[in-house]
Parts: sequence; C-alpha cells; structure tokens
Amino acid sequence: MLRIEHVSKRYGKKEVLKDINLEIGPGIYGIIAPNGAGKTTLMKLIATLLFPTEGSIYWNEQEILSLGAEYRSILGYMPQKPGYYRNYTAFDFLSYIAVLQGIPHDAAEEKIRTLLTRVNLDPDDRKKLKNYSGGMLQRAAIVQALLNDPKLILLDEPTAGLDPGERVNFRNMLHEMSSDRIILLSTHIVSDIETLADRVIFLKDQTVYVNDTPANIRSILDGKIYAVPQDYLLPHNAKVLEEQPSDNGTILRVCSNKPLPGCKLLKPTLEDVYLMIYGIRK
Amino acid sequence: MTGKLVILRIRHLLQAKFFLFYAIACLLLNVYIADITFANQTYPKYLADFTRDNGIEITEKSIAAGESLEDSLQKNVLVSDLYSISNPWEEVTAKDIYSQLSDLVPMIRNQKLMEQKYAKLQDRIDQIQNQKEYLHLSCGSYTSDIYDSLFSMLMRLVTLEILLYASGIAIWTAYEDRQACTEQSIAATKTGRNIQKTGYIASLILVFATWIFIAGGTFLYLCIYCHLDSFLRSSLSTGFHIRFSSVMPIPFVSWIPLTGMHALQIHLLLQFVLACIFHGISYALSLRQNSSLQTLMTLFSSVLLLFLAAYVFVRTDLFALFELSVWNPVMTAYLEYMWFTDMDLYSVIPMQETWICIVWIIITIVMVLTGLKIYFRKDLNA
Ligand SMILES: Nc1ncnc2c1ncn2[C@@H]1O[C@H](COP(=O)(O)OP(=O)(O)O)[C@@H](O)[C@H]1O
Ligand SMILES: [Mg+2]
Repeated sequence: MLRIEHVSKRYGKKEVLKDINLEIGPGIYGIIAPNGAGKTTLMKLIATLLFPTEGSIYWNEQEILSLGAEYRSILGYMPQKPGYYRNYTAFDFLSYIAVLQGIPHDAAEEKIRTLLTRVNLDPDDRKKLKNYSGGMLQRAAIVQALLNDPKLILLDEPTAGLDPGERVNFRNMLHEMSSDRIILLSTHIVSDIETLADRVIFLKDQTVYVNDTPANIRSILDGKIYAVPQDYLLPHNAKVLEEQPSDNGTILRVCSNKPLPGCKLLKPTLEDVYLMIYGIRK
Repeated sequence: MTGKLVILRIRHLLQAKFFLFYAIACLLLNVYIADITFANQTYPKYLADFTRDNGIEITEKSIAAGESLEDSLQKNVLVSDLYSISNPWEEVTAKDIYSQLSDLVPMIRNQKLMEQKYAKLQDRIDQIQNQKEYLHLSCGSYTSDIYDSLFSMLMRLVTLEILLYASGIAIWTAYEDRQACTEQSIAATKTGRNIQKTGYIASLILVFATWIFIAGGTFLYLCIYCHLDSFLRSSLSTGFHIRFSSVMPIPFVSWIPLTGMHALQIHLLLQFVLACIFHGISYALSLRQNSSLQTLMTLFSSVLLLFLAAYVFVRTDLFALFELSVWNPVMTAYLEYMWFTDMDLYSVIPMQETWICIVWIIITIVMVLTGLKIYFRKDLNA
C-alpha cells in the first residue's frame, strides 16, 4: 500500500507538483497528463530519486526514505529515458543490475532468462546493447525494472518506442502481474491504459485533477459525445474533439452539453475526457 | 555483496581503454627517460662494480683498491673522488645553516619552531659524523647530478602521472552512470546510492594498481638496468652531496638516515599517499557538483590559485602567508625535490611534508564522507 501525503515539489522557484494526495493499493494505475505536467517528477519522488519539498510518501505506513534499501528492494523503476552501458550485452547488463538488486547469482540468471523470453529478447541476449534498436532497448529496460519481482512497479512512459505488437504483449504482461502488485505507469498516450488500468489519475495545475476508474471517468461524458456532419450548425459551447474523414464527407466528433438532434450519439472514450481536460494543442 | 560489486566495478572500469593506454604510455615514457639518463652512463656502473667488491665507505683499504685498478678514464675520476672526500660538517653546524639562510631571507617566522627544527637537525648532523655516513662513495662527484635527475626529474614526473591518473579515474568513476544515464535506474535498486561508495573503493583500488604498475615498473627498471647500486646503497648525506641552494652551498641532510634506496622507496610511498588525497578530493567534489566539466575546472583553478598564492606571497615577503600556502597537497607534490630534507626554508617544522599529508588525509576522509552524505540527499535529476 502506497500513500502519498501532501507532497509538493519545487525546482528552485518553479512549483511542479502541489499538494499531491493519493492512496494506492494493488492494481494498475495510469497517470495521464500532457508533457511537462510533472508525471516524471511524481515517479521520481516515489522512486526516492527526488526528495519532496513538502509532504511524505509511505509504504505500508512507513516513510519510504527511512525504509531505505528495504523499500528499494520491493521497487521496480523504469525511467523515462533508460540508460545502459553501450558495450555490454543485454544479459551482462541485466546481470549487473541483478547484483545491484542483491539477487543471488543462480536465481538471477534464471529470472533474466525468463523475462527476456517473455519480451522476445532471448534470441538477442548476447548482442551488445549499442546494436539494439529503440524498441529492443525499451524492452530490456522493462526487464530491468522487473528483475527483483517488485511489489511496486513504476513505469515512466514505458510504451514509447514499442510497435503495436510489442505494445499488446507488454499490456498482457502487466495484466498478468497486476493481481498482487501496484503498477504505476505514466503516459500521454491514452489508449495504452484505456483497457488496462484499474484506475486513472489525471494531473492538472500541478496536482491530482481526477482519480477514478476508467468507467467512472468516461461516464462523465455519457450522452455528450456525438458524430456530427461537417456542415451541421453547432451550438456555441460545443467542442470539436476530432475530425474523421469518411465516405460521405468529414465527420466531426463533438462534445456538447445540449442534445444535438439528428446526430448519432457515441460512447465516450478516455481520450474524449483527456481532450476536454487539456484541450487540443494547435 | 559489496565486495562483488567492487570487483564488478573494477572489471567495468578496466574496459575504459583510455586509462590502460595512459598507464602504459606513462611507464614507457619513464623507462625511456630512465634509460637515457642513467642506463647509458658508464661511471655509475663502474662504481657499482667497485663498491660491490670494496664496500661503499671510503677507507684506506678501498683507496688502495682503487689505485690498483686497471688504468681507464673512469679510474682517474674514481681515484680523484676517493682522495677528495672530506668531512663537510667539521665547520658547519645546523645553527650556521639557519643563521646564514635567515640573514639572507628576511623572515617573519615562528622563531621558536625554527630553532626547534634546526636543533633537531644538529642531532642528525652529529649522527652523520659518528656513523661516518659522509664517507660513503655514492656516485662520487656525480652524486648531486644523479640525485637531481632521480628526484627532481624522474620521481616528480612519476608523481605527476599518478596524480593525474588518480584525479581522472575519480572523476570518471563518479560521473560514469550520470553520463550513461544509468544513474537513475541504479539509484532505485536495492544498492541504490551506495553505488558511489563502491565506485570510490573500486577506483581507489585502481589507483593503487596503477601506482604499482607505473611507479613499481619504473622503480624495477631503475634497480635492474640503471646500475645505480652504489648510489642507492650509500647515505644521501655523503660528503659528495652538496646542494647549491639559492643562498649558499650546504651539505645534504635529511631528517632520518636515508640511503638512496630508502629515499626512493619513501618517495614512492608519499607519492601514493598524495595520489589517495587527490583521488579522494576529486571524488568528493564530483559527488557534490553536477558536471564533470565543472569539477575539472574547479580542480584546475584551485591548483592555479595555489601556485599563484605561493608566488604572490613570496614576492611580497608575506612569509607567514607563504608558509600557509605550502600546506596543501599540490605544493607538497610540486616541492618533491625537497622531501625529507630539513635544509629548506619552506618547512617550519621537521618532517613537514609528512605532517601535511597526514592532515590532508584526514581532510580527504572528511570530504569524502560528507560528499557521500550530500550525494545521498541529492535530487538525481540529470
Ligand atoms: N531539474 C529541473 N529543473 C527545473 N525544472 C525542471 C527540472 N526537471 C523538470 N523540470 C520541469 O518540471 C516540469 C515537469 O517535468 P516532468 O516531470 O518531466 O513532466 P512530464 O514527465 O509530465 O513530461 C516541466 O515543466 C519541466 O520543465
Ligand atoms: Mg516525463
């Protein structure tokens, strides 16, 4: 059980996070916010890489900074930009991380093999990391975060650089693991967590804006999303979320508080909510 | 687990080929210099053979043996050396040295400390006379030249090489994970920020290994191929060893009985201690600062400032400040040719360079410990 209490973080004068309060139990949590909103900062605070300006974080009611190594040994962290030693093979690099995690040699070797197989890197485990593609490095970094069988897994934009097949495999993997662990993943790609996350956290104005299940969040927009032909006269407070070309002209995806007669009602998605919260960046 | 990590880290650091090349290049350079300076000289070799048979102390017997040698150029020099030796201490006391030096250089000094120092020097001078150290043949009339080549040139070069290596490997190790962007993944593991402790130990072990390699290699070459036996076995306070300080010629005196070999060994040892200090300070700075360039510039400008300070204070006759400005590892390394001698005016107290090193070892330990503490409380934000 992870509890974040009144956590704020400033870089110099710049306040990035303000009074964050969260209670997180087993399950998958998606942290969604645009770039620069503080997702990475929050992850690093939980990973003890940064120290809160105010407030504290607790693991099973104990302050994480005072738990120290005990806390880090149940923690799996994948940074947004994972680094690696260029001249190491994936296997050697992961073995090194396993030593840092204090995993006994034999157990480590078996664990690395299993995980590499799970992310389809086993044929390349003797290749040097400098010869890896972006997606391969990303998968190696995922393995690195899971080596110590962590109870608390922090993944900072883990799907960046993965192709659709890898993405699906990755989601399945998280799903398999999620029953008795906390998995926190940050992303600005809503579809990654639409089906996966048990709860979704939106960050806005330096703090937690929404924290709820995907279904509850979507239901905010129930009965408000319409498919609208392009020449339709929209009420002034309706908001166009997307333009989709189709056989009979462009169709607009519109959010409107007033009913739009003659237009087809659509099921809201998380992306609709995202766009309503943060707007469209032009 | 820590031991295993240290071994892994050392293996990892050895993959940085630059440091290996550097060590090999240093050793080759030293061997080359030793070779052109000592190995090709015939007189030291001639003396090595002579003293092996006749002892290093000049006696009537060895003079006779010298005269009965086969005629050669070297023999002529040897015989003249054997006859020219005298006891340089018959007229000179430690007090004389002090008064002459202090007459010529206006000094604001701690009179009491200086007197203590030179009183201690007199004990040593008496010992040189009682033990007849002044009668050691050493390298005869070449003794001062050999001493300069060995300690003012070669050993200082080795010191410079080791100090550069020590600082370099410290900075490299401390920043490596930041450079490779692995710092954050590693800091979030069980070992966490302790990684810098293992890095410190691993790089210190490498400093030791490299010191053994460069200094030990140079030392072995000197002992095996340079025929300095006679010089190395003789006392450095032989009557042939006259220093021409800026003020006047003074027979050489060290604060403990030193043969050439002892001096060489002690130089190597003190050089390693200095390397540990440089390594520790560089590592400690790296733990505080956020870029290797910044740390390099800090170190570089500190060294420049120390030299500048010493220069300015000596120019302006601010001797108290000057005295203070030599109390640091940089000036200690620079003044290597003065080590273990009490004749110079740079040191106020006997064994000054040793005291400086002891003080700085303590400072270094404190700096490393606080550096680690700061690193443990630092936002890792690269
Ligand atoms: N070391 C730093 N110093 C100053 N500002 C920073 C630093 N790191 C991040 N920031 C700022 O904090 C904000 C949040 O950054 P980040 O947590 O990386 O956002 P996200 O991961 O959501 O894209 C950004 O505006 C960024 O510019
Ligand atoms: Mg980020």
